[in-house]
Amino acid sequence: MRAKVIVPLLGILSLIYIFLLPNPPSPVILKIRIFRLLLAIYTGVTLSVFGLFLQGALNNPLVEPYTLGIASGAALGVSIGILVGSALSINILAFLGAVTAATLVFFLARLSGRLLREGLILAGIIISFFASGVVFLLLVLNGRELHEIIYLLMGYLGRVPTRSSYLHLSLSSLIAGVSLFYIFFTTKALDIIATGYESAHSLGINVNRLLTRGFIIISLNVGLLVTQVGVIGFVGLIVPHLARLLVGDHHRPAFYASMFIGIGFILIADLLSRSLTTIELPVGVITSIFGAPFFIYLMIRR
Amino acid sequence: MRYLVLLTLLSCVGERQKSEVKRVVSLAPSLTEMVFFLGAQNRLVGVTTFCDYPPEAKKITKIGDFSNPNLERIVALKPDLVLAALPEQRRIVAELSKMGISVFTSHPKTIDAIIDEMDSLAHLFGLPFPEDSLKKLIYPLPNFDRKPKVYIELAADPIITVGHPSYLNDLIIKSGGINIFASVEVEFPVVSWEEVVRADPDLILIFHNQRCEERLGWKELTAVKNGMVFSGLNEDVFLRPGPRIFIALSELRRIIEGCVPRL
Repeated sequence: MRAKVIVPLLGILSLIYIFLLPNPPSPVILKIRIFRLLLAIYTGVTLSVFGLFLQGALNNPLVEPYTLGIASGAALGVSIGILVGSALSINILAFLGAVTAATLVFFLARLSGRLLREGLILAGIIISFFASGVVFLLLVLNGRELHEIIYLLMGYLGRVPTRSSYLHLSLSSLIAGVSLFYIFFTTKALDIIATGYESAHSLGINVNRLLTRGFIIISLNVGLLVTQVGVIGFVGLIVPHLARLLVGDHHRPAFYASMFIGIGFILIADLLSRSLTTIELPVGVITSIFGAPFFIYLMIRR
Repeated sequence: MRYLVLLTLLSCVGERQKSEVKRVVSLAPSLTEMVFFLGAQNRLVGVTTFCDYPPEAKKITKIGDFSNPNLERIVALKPDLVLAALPEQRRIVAELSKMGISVFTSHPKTIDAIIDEMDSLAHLFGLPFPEDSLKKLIYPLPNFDRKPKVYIELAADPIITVGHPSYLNDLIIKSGGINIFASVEVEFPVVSWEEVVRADPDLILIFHNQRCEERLGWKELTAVKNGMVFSGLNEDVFLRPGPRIFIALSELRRIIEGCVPRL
């Protein structure tokens, strides 16, 4: 029922994105804009679904790849990769950066003794700030423009598309597809985890294994994502909440809803980021402006 | 003269104002080049590590780089005038003024403004300035029936170009072209590749060393079809708003003259 409304709405939004705003395209521009649309869809879907998974698996409504510092860790990998050189090394280093950040966050959270609550967020923020700081330092020391750093750390969908960026996007979409498949099959387990870790254990769910696999998968995907669009915050936080608001707390319907709402959210954010001012703003500017108040709302509500 | 912000000391040191400046610290390569152009280089007691032209500038004491001039080192040189560039050096300008050190700030938005700034500097140094002969290098402006659309790319990721308030916009106008981003009221705006393709420039100047050929829509651009892409230009000549801008001007005029018959 709801899908019948959402899907046509998304179709209309995509058509607006491609054909109307900021202005109608020529054939060449159409090619460029379709790439940006595909990139936005890939970004919206992966960030939202991974946000849903993390919130479910950690039983914590405030986590997502951004608040856990995974995205900033990936950005640190990307910036080392930019200085090292080859495209392959950027992707690998982004993955390593993401994995390292995730591991450190867990280690820190465990040290604080409040692993699954504010300890995680606190650790995520610490790692995130640290990684962003190192990104700045590394790139500035190597004579890079401040713009480049800001657009990496705030996320940007408008990087110049080349033929190899199509290949990059196709490969990472493929990996994302397989990963989403895995996450889809964890949705039942996530429903059980929602009732508490105790009962999940007693029902034979290996939470540690689920988390470990989930973190590796998410690090890999976030690494690939950040290489292409930089760090886009709060999408993975807001969208799963909106999805649950719409379809209820069960993870399978929320999975579908997150995918669709994620696409819609990022498309609207990108349209705003490119039409609010005469220059192209990083899309993260818009998602953060929406995201921060939402985060506060979630904190107060609990 | 309106670009001149000379922060004067209080009346007790008013006497010193009348005498010429003797010890000058320059915080920008463009300003160092201006001082050399005026022939006042022997009064330069400090420059930045970026100040590499003319080569003699490298021998002068360094006070840090353009983005991070070191306040203590500047003060230690006991300058009676510091030359700084805006908007980047706003902070240190404020610091220096607070300490009562005279600061000359540079932020030219046109080529005429570059001349005006050099004129003001010449006044401060008590030196003659060949304003008229420099103006002759600019005027009369070349006038083509169809002005080529020019696109300048300063960085590739994200794309940074030049907007209306930039002296590079004026450089394009004074060379007989039009900047495709002349309507943008930001000095160095970030724009999307899509907008560049839509504007379809007749002439492209690239000031970074990333590859562009692979971009979607690159081969369809008029400038690319006509072989009007220039990427080997001397960055320092074009990107420093100092006296060498006249070299940039004559170079861009030559390029545009070669571009016009193909329109």
